[in-house]
Amino acid sequence: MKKTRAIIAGLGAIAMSLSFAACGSGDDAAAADGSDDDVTVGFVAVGPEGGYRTAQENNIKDAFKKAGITLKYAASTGTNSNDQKPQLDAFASFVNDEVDAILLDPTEASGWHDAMEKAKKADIPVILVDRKIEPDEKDLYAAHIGVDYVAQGKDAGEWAAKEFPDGAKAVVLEGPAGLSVVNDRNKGWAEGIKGSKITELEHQSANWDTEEGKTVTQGLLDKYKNDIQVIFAENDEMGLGAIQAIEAKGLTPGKDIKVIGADATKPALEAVAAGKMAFDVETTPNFGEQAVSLIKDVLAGKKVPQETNLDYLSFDQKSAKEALDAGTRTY
Amino acid sequence: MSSEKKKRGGPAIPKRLLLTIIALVLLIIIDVIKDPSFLHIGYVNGGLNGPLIDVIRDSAPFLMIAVGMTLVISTSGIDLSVGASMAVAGAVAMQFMHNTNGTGLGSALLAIVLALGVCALIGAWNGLLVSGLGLQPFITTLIMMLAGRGIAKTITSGENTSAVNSAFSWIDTGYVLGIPFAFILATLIVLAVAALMRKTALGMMIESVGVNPEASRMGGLKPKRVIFSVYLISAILAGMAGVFTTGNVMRVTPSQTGLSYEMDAVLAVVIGGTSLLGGKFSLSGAYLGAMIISLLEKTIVWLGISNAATPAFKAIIVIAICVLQSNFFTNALKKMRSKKQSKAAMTAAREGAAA
Repeated sequence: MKKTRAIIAGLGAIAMSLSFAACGSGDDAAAADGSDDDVTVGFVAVGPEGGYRTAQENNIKDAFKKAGITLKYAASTGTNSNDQKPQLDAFASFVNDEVDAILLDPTEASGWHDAMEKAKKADIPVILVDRKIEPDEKDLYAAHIGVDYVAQGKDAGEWAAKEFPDGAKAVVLEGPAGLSVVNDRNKGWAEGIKGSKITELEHQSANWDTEEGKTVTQGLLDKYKNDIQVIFAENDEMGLGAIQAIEAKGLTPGKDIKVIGADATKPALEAVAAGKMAFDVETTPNFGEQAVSLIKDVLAGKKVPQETNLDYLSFDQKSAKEALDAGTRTY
Repeated sequence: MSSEKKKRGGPAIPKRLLLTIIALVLLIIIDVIKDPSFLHIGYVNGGLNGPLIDVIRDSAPFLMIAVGMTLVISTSGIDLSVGASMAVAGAVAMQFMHNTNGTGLGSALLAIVLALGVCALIGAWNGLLVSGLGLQPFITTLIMMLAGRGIAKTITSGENTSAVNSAFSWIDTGYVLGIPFAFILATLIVLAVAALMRKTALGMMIESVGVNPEASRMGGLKPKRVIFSVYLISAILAGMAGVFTTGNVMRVTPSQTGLSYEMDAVLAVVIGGTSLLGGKFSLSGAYLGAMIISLLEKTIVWLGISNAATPAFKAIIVIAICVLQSNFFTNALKKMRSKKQSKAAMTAAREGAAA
């Protein structure tokens, strides 16, 4: 076992160095054209994981192309996209290649200390994209661009409070316990409904899953004898399951019970447009523009904020229809 | 067991099974104490509706994997790839109907055949490695558990695929005479497997291979074939479980569908009274075990166990059931009873002597 693993890792390393060599020659050609001022950024990405990740990484690639900055892209390939080793390897070779800056979207939060220390010694600024590192050693990276999950939860809570000024009973479907996204969205939701007449009955986990979202919601509807008016599903998958559960109990989603989703994926927007989901807060994939401007500032020696939260949208029936008609939502 | 039967002369319910039924009833009682409306059964959209009805419908996937796992475990193997196989089956079925826009009964059936076919390949692969090459079942199926998620993701290109097909969805959400069809179909499949085991010699061969493969080979059996067949059956049943779960919402989440179901299957088998060391197996035990798992999921929501405490709660219940079934507990009960009897006999004798 061990031996084969070592061999596979070795082969992977060779393949990776070959692909970087190929990238490198491409850069030389670009430099010879004189089309850019020789800024090269390495992007240690997550790679194929789903529609959202693809949209996010394409957005970043496009933004750098537009800005005329060479972006070397290295994804954590393989069947298991949560594998950290390819990311560490890619990060190390970017440091060896002496790129001007590194964008990092870590698949795993921990285990980055040594690699980032080396980048720091080599004077290569690192900008974290989306996920953060643990422990959060702020001196190891220049900036972090992310989605404000607390604000998302707060928007959802405030919408519910406004929709039901006379009060309503609400349940929350959350993801696996302990995730920072779950904690943040919970916190935001609590802030959002604070001082309103919304009564929160309980939180229950449905593990981000559509099927569990359905079975758990069925259980909750039985438990409270259908006396629930708002369901905040902390991701769209669970929200889509909750809608089916409401229908299976002979109720009308959007009328009897209003489901709030989070992420604004395409199927969820379709549900919002159809009136089945009431409201959806977006998790934006548009990191590119912000990443470019941050990197430019960092390389120009300007001081940049450690934390940048991206602007995001929220959708009701009308705006969901418009977004779908515009056809920009690909995932 | 047989001696007990003779002694009591009553109906042939083995003590272990009886204790499992008691555990099932106790769980229901806990739910009823929390709120009696747990027993409420209503009528919605042409079918019965209520917590207990949900429990038997949601038991369908658990029934499938519990039965498959029972057979594998009784050959003293294990199949950790059932959860991943569910994801693969769901991915195949959903992607097929999504790509072909198949909304008819024909494409629903074709989707099921394809899904089960791909799972049969997975099972054959596991079976070949374990029986042919003699690899450890734990490692072989662990690898398939990881690879299966990759396969499922590859099939859907990493997306969560949904499809529209009322026939496929009816398999899990439909009703026959008001009873969830998923439950009826799952029960029929279990009965069919039971018939295959008890009407043919396959069941006995599995048990004999589980006890001692070498001896059964010398006794004229072909252990390799037997072992191959249990992995095949387990994977196909896991595929059916995947059809049930994805049919429920007509959507597959390759990273989540069937996640950690292999553990639920093992739990159902253990609760059902099949020894992890192999040998004798009990399909009726597995059936009840699957029911308990499904009821447990419902109970967690019904009691409002918090997200973080859920695994601990599950563990406590399962341990409690295992203790209830253990020899220690039954022996202790017996001792208490015999002590009482002997005390009663002694006092009676004393009274008799006094008189």
